[in-house]
Amino acid sequence: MLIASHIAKRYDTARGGVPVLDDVSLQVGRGDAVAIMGPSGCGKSTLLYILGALERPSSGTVTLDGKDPFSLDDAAQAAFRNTHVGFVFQDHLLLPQLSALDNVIAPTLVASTPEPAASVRQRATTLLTQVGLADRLEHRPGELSGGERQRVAIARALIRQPALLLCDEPTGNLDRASADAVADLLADLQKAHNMMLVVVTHSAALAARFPRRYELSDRRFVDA
Amino acid sequence: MTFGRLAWAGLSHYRRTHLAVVLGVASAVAVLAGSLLVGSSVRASLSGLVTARLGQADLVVASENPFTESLAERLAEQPELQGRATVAPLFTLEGIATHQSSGRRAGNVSVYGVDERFFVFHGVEAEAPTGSGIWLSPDLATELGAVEQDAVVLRVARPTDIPLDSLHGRKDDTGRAIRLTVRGTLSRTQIGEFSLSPSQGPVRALFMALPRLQRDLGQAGRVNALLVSRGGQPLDADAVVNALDASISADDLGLKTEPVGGSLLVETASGLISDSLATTVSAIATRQGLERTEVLTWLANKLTVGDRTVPYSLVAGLGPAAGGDARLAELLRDTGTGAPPIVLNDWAARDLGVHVGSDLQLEYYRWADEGRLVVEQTTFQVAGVVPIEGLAADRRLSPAYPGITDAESVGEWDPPFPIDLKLVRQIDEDYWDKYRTTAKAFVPLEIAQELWRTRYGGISSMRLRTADCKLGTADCGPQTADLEASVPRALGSVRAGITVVDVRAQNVSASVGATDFGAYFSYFSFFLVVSALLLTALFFRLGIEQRLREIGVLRAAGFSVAAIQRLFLLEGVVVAIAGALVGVVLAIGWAALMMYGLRTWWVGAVGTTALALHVDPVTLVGGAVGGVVAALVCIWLTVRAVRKYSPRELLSGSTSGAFAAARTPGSIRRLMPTVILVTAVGLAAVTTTGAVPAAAGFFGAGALILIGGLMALGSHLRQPRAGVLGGSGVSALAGFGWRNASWRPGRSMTSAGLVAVAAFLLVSVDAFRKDTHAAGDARGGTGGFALIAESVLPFVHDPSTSSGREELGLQFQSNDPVFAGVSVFGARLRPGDDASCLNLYQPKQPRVLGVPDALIDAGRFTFAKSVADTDADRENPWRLLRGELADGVVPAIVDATSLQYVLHAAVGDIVTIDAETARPVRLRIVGSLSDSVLQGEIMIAESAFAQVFPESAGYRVMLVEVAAGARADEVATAIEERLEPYGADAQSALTKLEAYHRVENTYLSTFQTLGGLGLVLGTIGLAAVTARNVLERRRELALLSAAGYRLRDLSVMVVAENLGLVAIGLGVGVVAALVSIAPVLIARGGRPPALSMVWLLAVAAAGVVAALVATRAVRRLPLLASLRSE
Ligand SMILES: Nc1ncnc2c1ncn2[C@@H]1O[C@H](COP(=O)(O)OP(=O)(O)OP(=O)(O)O)[C@@H](O)[C@H]1O
Ligand SMILES: [Mg+2]
Repeated sequence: MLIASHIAKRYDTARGGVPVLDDVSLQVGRGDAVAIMGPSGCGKSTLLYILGALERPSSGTVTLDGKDPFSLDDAAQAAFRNTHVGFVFQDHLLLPQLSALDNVIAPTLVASTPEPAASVRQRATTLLTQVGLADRLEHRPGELSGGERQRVAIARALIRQPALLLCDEPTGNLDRASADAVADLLADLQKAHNMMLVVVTHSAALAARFPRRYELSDRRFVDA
Repeated sequence: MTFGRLAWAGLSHYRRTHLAVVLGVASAVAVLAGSLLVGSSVRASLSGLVTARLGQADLVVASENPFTESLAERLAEQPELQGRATVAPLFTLEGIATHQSSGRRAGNVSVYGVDERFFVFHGVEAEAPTGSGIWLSPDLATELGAVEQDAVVLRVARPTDIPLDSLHGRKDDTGRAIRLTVRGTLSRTQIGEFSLSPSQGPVRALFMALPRLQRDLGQAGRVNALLVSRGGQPLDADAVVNALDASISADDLGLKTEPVGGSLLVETASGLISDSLATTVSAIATRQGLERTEVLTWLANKLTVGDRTVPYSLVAGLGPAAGGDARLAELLRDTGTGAPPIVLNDWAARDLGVHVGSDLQLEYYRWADEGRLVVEQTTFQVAGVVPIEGLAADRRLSPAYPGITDAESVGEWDPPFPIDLKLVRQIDEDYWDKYRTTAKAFVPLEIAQELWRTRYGGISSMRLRTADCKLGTADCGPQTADLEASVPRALGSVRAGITVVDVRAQNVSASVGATDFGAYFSYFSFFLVVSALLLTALFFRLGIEQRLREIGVLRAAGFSVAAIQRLFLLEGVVVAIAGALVGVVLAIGWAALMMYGLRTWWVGAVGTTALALHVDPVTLVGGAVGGVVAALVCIWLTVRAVRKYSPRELLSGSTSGAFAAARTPGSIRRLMPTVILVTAVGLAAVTTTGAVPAAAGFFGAGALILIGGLMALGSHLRQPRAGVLGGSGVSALAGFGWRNASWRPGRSMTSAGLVAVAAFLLVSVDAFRKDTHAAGDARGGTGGFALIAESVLPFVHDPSTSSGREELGLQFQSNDPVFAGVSVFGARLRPGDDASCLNLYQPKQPRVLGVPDALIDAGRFTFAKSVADTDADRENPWRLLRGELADGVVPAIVDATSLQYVLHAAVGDIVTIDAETARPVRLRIVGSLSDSVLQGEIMIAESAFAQVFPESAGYRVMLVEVAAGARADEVATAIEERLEPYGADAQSALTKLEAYHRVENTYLSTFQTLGGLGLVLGTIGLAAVTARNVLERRRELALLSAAGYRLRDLSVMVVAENLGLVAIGLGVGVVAALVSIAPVLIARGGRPPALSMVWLLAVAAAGVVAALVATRAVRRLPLLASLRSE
């Protein structure tokens, strides 16, 4: 259960404070899938980063299955992300120096309870097979298409079997067909792994596939 | 996959950036390890040089007074040496050699009297010299231009039994000229470069037949040195001293005993018994229950009572026992009332017509310490008259004085002092015929010692007899053999003046060097290392900044900051180690280049071409580790900065938004540079009025300009850009380009600041360049002396007086025109190791000058520092030399440069010289001379000199002042010609000073050269910064080119930014430096510092080249492609 209550965020800059979020609350249960929409610059990514413990809210609390990541120190917070949260970004953001398989495996390197290399490899291969890349395991990101990269990124986000999967415009850079494929994939995987899924998107088509939708506007949720 | 593989993947993927880091680390390691390698190479070369020159000699036994040649065998038989240690005797002297046909002269020649034992000792296949044949060292042969069969005249000082500067010393017979025939040269492997003293200079060695040298010196069967070879076993100096103690004989000490008149006479060859010997003999006598009588006999020029005079009489001072003559003893007992008692023999009493109670004037000669014969007179009261019998008839109360005691008649006397033969009457000749050296008068010993004691001793002989034995009826003396056996053992070799020095250890430790070239080259290469490290950090940072989004992803995936830092540090370690490995190879090349430099461009600093590269793995590894650590520190600082960025910024791929945002300078910060610059101008202005000392004032102003200038640049770069870009053409583009410098103000400031500081230092060290523009003054570097003359043989006449010079044969008559307006100061010299920067070895037994009172009072030269605390001493710190210090510590003055760089001590410190000898001397440095010609020696007062170096008789150095306008070279020629028998060499003080300056200036040039190289490298770093800025802003540039900018326009922008920073850095640094050193520049007639200017031009050129390279980077960028999103 992900509970965000009364989240506010403002950025302090040399040119004054920039208020981004104001009293945003959200609850996502196991197996829930949520879409967040809104105009550019309204603070969607910010909210997502806060939910994923990548950015600290100015006020308000976030708990995931009862645990508050912002009460932890840097190392513990990192471990928290590693075990509970998976991220998929708009720009796939794969490590160019690693093969697709290694990119998927990378998060396991800092797992708090190390797993045998063979089983990690097995799981990564399975994930990549699930996303339809069984024959591209050893390829570098530079040798993959945009949609393929995004699928590698999804596999990477799932390798640690997170309870919460956060996607920031996962289909933003993709053509219609690839976007649909990725969306289908996300939906299947979410069900298969019984995860909480939060997707930020501009795309009404993508949003339409989600049972719960929120519209972020004027620093708050308005009903969509 | 593992952490390591993840790091490895990063390494290989970003290998181009990493390669740049590797090169940066490699340069730092190369320079650092290379510099240290220079140090170890110099040390190894110097150590190798002395070791080779020592041959097999490990220890040296030496004595001022020659000892028996057979001591070598006796010593070798001692248990301490038995086994493999070997001993070879030789006679070693300093001499001056003249090539007879060409007249070429070589001073400071080491003369070795050797026989086959010397060559066997060294294990060398060479024929020992025989007859008048000699071998020369290659350097000496070259210097003299001597080949086989050439005649060479050698002058050496003659070791004398009787000290030169005592009354009976033969002052006009100090040396020997020996005509010899060259047999050839001995190569280095034939031990031809044998040398006991550590010096990197040429070896002037002359090997002659030992028997021939002994004969010429009148020292048959005697030598003054033994070489000891350990033969591979441990043998230290103390063990050799013990062995010596057990093997020295009375003959080695010059001790003679002889039964005379029923008691045992104890004498020495010098006619004086040293205090230590006297104490030893007395102790033995007391232990054996013997009664002893010390005797000090002197020559009275006149014994006068009223108008009657007896000329030239021997007067014996007798100890209280008076040789068992109870009557004499009783008469000599000083009642303490009135004049001291004197007892006459009846011949003298009759001749003088005296009776008991008469006053008697005794006139005598004394050799004053300052090198003058003085006539003194003392009044005695006649206490009694004794017949010429018993002790009063004993001719042996007087020691043997050549020229007197062996003369047939008084008329034939030939003493080393003037005698007025007109005073000698027939009855005096009759007395001589009948009684010879029988004393005519007797005085108490303590009175005699008060009048005639010298630093060589206060007893001329001693009598020992059994206490209650009746003289005349029995032989009361102890056994000669017993005493001759027990005295040497009781005295010991050390007190007998025989020293043992572990020359090998001493010379090897001296080769650690006065100058640590490793440290010097590290300092000199400072800017090179800093530039290399800066480049390393820059490139590594570039690598990280390229990968910010990667870091963001890793953080999102749950990597902690620490884990990410570890990852990058791991990459950094691999890169640094790779850099170190490359660097080690380059270091050898760098060191080889520096060694080549020391042999060629900078040979002025070392004065030898015998320095070669020695690759010492330990040094190399040490330098590599140092370079790696420095690089890792830089890398760590960069990696640490990762923490500053939030994942969000990292993911966005740009950190500029939050961190490089121009911090708008506050109004105070904006005003600061102006305030500082105005202060600088004000300070300079005030200084020109003379209110502030020029050197300090201008240096302050220069430093303020440097700080203010850099602050102004910083504030300019951080200023928010108000105006809108406008205009057209190159200037508008350049303005636009210059704006890019404020893209990363920190980066631009670092580069410009480095250039400015380096330029400042490079130009301002020119002020330390020594020149001789005011050296001729009495307060200048030469002390106002035009010439410094040094002789091989000491002379005892005081050259500062006209009469002394005449005695010396230096001046022909009192108004000799050559010496018109010339003043001379004589100084005593204890020869030894050169303490100046010309000597690369640490001086262990440095040259010491005993400076006369007159020179102290003259207050010449300028002091850098002194311990003076009274006004008088501050006015003339030379006076501090007269200070009395506790525990036998002697006040000394040293040239400031030698003190700091060679002796490694400071004013006020106590330094010990001759530490490895039996007689270490402790000196307190009471002052230091600034930039003086007296760099090679340590100065102490003449009075103290006589005490610490009693064996160094006479003067050997002359400081000569010539009247303005007079021809110094004529005086020099006169000195060299007229003092030819003394082997005098007169050198221009200015030339000498210039030789020292050359060394220091060469070091400065080395610093400027390496610093300049560092600056060039820094400029290249600046280009890298520019290229990076271009890279970072490629989208922006792409936009510009999409907007119609041509590549050439972009190049103009890049060049403008780069050159702008170099020019500002150079400008600020140079202006600040020139202001700082303005007083020196003005004093030198406004001559600009040439070498540093050349380097600055090179820097500017490097700036242009680097800018062009950066431009190429712009050209090669796929600008438009970078507009497309990834
Ligand atoms: N570090 C920062 N400092 C100041 N303001 C920031 C910072 N990061 C983001 N913002 C501001 O916060 C607001 C929200 O940003 P955010 O990235 O969350 O928007 P978004 O809804 O994801 O927009 P988009 O759909 O374009 O991705 C924006 O107005 C942005 O300018
Ligand atoms: Mg967004």
